[in-house]
Amino acid sequence: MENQNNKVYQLKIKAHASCSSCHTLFITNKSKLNEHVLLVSNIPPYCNQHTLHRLFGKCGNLLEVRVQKHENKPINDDQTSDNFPPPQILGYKVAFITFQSNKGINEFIKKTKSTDPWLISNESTKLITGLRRWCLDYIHEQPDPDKLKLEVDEYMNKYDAKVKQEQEEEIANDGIPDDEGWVKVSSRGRNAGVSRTETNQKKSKRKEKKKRKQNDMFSIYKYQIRESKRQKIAELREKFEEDKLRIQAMKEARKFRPF
Amino acid sequence: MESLENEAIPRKKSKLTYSELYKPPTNEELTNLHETTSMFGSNLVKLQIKEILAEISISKKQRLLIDDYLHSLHDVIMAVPSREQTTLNDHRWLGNVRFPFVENPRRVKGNMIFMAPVDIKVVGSYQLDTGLNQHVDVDLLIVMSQACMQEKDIMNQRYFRKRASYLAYIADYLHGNDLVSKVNFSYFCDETMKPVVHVTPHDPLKHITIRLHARPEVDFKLERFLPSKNNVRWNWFHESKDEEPFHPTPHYNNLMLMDQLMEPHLTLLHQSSKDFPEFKNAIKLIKTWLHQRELNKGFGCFSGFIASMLLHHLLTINKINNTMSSFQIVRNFFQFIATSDWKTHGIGTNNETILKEFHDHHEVVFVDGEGRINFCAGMPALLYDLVRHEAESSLTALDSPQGFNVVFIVCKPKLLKQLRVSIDRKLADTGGQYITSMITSMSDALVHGLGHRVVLCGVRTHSYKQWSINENPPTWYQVSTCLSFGLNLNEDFAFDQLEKGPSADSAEATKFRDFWGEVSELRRFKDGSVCESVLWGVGGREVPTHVCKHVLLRNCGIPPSALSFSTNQVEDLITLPRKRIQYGKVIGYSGTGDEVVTTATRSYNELARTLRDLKTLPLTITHVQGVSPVLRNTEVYPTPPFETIRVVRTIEVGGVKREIPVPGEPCPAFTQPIQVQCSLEGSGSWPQDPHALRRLKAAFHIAIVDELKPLFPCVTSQSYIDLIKDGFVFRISMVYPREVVVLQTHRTKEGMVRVRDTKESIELEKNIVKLPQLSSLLQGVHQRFHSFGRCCRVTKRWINSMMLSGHINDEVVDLLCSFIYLSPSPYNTPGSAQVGFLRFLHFVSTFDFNSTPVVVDFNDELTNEDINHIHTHFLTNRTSLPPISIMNNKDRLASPWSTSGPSKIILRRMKDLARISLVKMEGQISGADKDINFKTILNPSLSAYDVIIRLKSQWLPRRFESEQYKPLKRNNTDCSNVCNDCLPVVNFDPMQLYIDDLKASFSELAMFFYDTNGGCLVGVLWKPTAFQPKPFNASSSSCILQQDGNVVPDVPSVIEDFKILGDGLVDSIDLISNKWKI
Repeated sequence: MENQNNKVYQLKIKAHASCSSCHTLFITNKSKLNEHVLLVSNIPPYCNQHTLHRLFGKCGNLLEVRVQKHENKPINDDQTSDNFPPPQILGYKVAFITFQSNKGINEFIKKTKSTDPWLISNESTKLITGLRRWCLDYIHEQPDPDKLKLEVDEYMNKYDAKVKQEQEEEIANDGIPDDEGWVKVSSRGRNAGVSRTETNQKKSKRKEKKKRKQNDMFSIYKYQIRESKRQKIAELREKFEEDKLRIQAMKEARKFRPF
Repeated sequence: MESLENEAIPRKKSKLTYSELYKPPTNEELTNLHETTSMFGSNLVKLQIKEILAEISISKKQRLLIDDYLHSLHDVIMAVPSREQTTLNDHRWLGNVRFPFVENPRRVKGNMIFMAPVDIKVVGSYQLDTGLNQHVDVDLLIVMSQACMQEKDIMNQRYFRKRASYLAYIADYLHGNDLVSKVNFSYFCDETMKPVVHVTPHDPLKHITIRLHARPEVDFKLERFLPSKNNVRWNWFHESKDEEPFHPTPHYNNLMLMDQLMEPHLTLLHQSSKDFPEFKNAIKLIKTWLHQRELNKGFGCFSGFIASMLLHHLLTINKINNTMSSFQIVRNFFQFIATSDWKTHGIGTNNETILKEFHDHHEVVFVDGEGRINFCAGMPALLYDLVRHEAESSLTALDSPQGFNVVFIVCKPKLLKQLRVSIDRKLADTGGQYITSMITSMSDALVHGLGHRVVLCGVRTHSYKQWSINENPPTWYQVSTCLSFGLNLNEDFAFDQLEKGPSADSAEATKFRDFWGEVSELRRFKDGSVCESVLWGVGGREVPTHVCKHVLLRNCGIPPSALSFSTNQVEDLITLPRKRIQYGKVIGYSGTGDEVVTTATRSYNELARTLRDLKTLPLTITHVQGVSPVLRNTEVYPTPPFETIRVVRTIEVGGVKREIPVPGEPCPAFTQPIQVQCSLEGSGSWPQDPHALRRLKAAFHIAIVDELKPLFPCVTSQSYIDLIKDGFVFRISMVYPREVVVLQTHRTKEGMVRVRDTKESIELEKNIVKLPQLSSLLQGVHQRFHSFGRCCRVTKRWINSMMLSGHINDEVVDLLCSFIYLSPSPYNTPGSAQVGFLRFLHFVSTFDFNSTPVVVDFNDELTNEDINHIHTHFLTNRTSLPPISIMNNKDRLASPWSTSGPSKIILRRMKDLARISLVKMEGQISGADKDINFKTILNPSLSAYDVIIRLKSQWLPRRFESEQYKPLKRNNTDCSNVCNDCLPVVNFDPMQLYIDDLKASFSELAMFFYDTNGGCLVGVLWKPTAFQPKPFNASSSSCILQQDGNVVPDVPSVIEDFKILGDGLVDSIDLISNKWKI
């Protein structure tokens, strides 16, 4: 039972009864102590959450079916709604299927023993693909303006309230030391701090450098003049060498064949 | 295709060690380093010149071989046995060899006797060591024995015929010799009176040609050949017995002199080039330059000899001296030609009277130091203009960073000129040197007739092929290249319908009437004047063609059937004839679609004004920018405004009816929306959260629709508004430019705010910051060059028809085309879409995208330093930049538009296809075919694909755009729902949706090729790496697991998926190859 978690189960599925070839789903057991999860991969594009629910529901009660594009990239869908749907998952995908109990998983493993492919569509539940899906998508793209307006207003009110509350909290906490005695510098008040951004940090570094440079003096001593002359010749040489390389590259690219 | 995957230039770092870099310089090194900047402009040019000279010079080893060969050939020719005397008309003694001279008239007095040559000398560029490696021509001058000559040989072509038969006899003798593999004749400089013998040696030297010339042993008297003298008698030539008029025969005289002055000129050049190696190098460079521009081809061309003599002339007048580098000499050469005018102020001698005499008889005058011979005797004035123009543009090009390539490397074939008129061989037979004598009158007529319509008129003279010694010499109508004129149109006037002449009572009026003939008529103008004028009753773009036809017919008697034009035939590719399809919908337009674009632009401008004046929004709209290609006229087939439509099924959304597509019913017509972006005035109260921003923008859309609803039918969705105005569908979206920063900003663990590009922010920046910028820049180009838009459209049509849609996006094509318009050197800016398209094909097939970026300089803002900087940055970062890298003023270091494609494989395929199409088109143009039909280049080859998916055409709304589409005759069953203010189905193209689905699922496995303009096929090409077994992981897709734990693609199920994903659209799937069987 040690390597049970690493075993890859294969499950054959068919789009229609009339299809000649099967798809293979790869399933690994990702169960943890109190979670009974299967990871299903290689799910064909036309298989959605509902289809999976129907397929795996046969083995036991399901708690959750979560469809993702990749194994380890959970999508953040708390900000989406009917009118602002998350981006569609296109192409092949993976799914996490959580059973209520271990029974479901055992039932499933039993079922994989038989080689008969599972059908994902039948008379009552047809696959919606191709033209029918595109037409449906086209209609769904168009939300009801009234509902849309309602939702937007509601969301924005909530958002504004949240922002306002944050601001008020910040003002209220201004200048008050926390438990360890630190005071947070804010952008308000008389001693406003500079916001801590990367650009600001770079700016201050650049300033410092400039200052240091201004203090240096050139062309005073003989050695400095000599040095600059030497530098110039070195630059010329370097340029020459670079050009030679470029010519070499051109030669390799057969650029010097005028005819 | 596979080999391209790992093709990258290995860039070695040029690092000198510290001690190498700082060692004390020697004197020599110092001067060398300084010299490069003063004499060559830069290191790079110096090194480039060194390389190119090594490439084009004849090597020492080869010279030794050739010299040896010449010695043995010399002995053979010297030993040609003598022949007894015959008459000049009798050619029986030549045996199988045909007399290489068109005898017209046949009879001539005089006898011919062959005596072995007195001497054979090597002359010409080989002797001077200024020849080019690519086609080595060694000129041998055979000195004919004086015994062959008679008195009065200079008269009536006697000398020329004698010369021809002398050479023909030698040719006959050489023909059987072991030393020689082939003996041919050709006309020297395409002069039909001067045949020369071409001798081709055996193998190690078979690429060289030895030309045999002949000259008399004793020179003729020079005075007999002054341009005003007559040496061909009228009565002899016309076989008449009238009084002899003694017309001057300048051309004939010049030809006579050429042979006997060959040697003295050689001596002059020899003296100049002695101890002056850069002189020779300069000649070689100039010859290359002439060759690239094909100025040294055809009758009366600007030959390498003329160039050499000109350099000698420059040396005598101290324009160049022997301390100069070849680069400086070439520069001075261009400078001198560009500022010269040999049509009125000939050069070569200080003697004004001599020059004047030459000017009286020749168009272009450049005589030798003693005023004996005019080197440019046969040169048409138009050709000289062309040379001058080329020199001028090369002079400017030399100073630009890429100038060297432009001037010396890039080949500039003749066909890429603006408009071409070829005169072909079906002319009425009038005998003699018909074409040569007509060039002047034809070019005068054309130049006069076209007047200010053209900026530059160039000529490419006719030329003859070599012919075998057993064939008859070609006569004037058997030319290998026709006489052709290239016109560089002046866009401001070229297409004027009306030619306004002088006022009716002036003296010029008669001249004008004479010139134009019956088409000239009196017209009264708005200002009250009554003038002679010509009105061309044809479409604007046809006017120049009509002018040419009329003028040549009237003034030179050349029938239009003898002319062929290459003008705008390519625009047939972007016409879409207006027709009504099922349910009364209209597709297509009359003309090229420019009119649709004009109306669309007008509507767009009105809409923009309306948007800016909106009252109810909390913030005003400050900026409205249309970003669709339609507005810059670069959309292949712009959607015409729709009229009444009969719709199948509608739904009502917020009080507006919307047509919807329904499977099982006919497919709605394709409507491409015009994308418009609006941005609002600045405000501090925008939320700094992407989700809130999304909602707020939607709120703005709702507000806009609420206000605009009474004016136009419009509906909103989350991210855009669809609106109908004047039959065009606009898709308006709100843009908040700082959204990019919002997406970029994120807080690190330490609480520092960092700004980093993310995938989404880059995409967004491209769409809402760079796209509007680029659109306005491209719109500027569209307004500057009126054929730019059509050129882009033709190009896109071609790319689509090659099934490369989706691999190269619209912006890349627009940018490449604008590069062709903005940096046309070595050409001029294209004046028609056809030229632009030909240049595009030529550019794509030859440009070295791997080691050079395409730098598009809008508004001429970039300085040389900027461009150099772009180049160095490009070279150091080559691997991270896309295969085609296009930089412009706004994106100097990155190439955002081409990152998504084309990939290396696609680029390679595009190059191949461009080459093939270019050859096909040039073949049609130069083939002098009456019916140029470029539609044949649009047939894609299907042989490359592994799988071909055939789609049902009923559900392809763009099928009408295809060439192959044939409408079915059927009754338009009237549909009862007539709807006037109903929103049509927008941007619904099942083909595109299908491709998107396929790409999302199988992009790792295969590439998909299709034609958005009405193609009904999808070509599938398996990726070469797709069938290698890979280890299994959770993201392995569309595959089966093998016993060894690796996965391989599950092709049968993939093919099944092609069918399932395209349910209702896919007709059948053909498996072409079985590459996938592992």
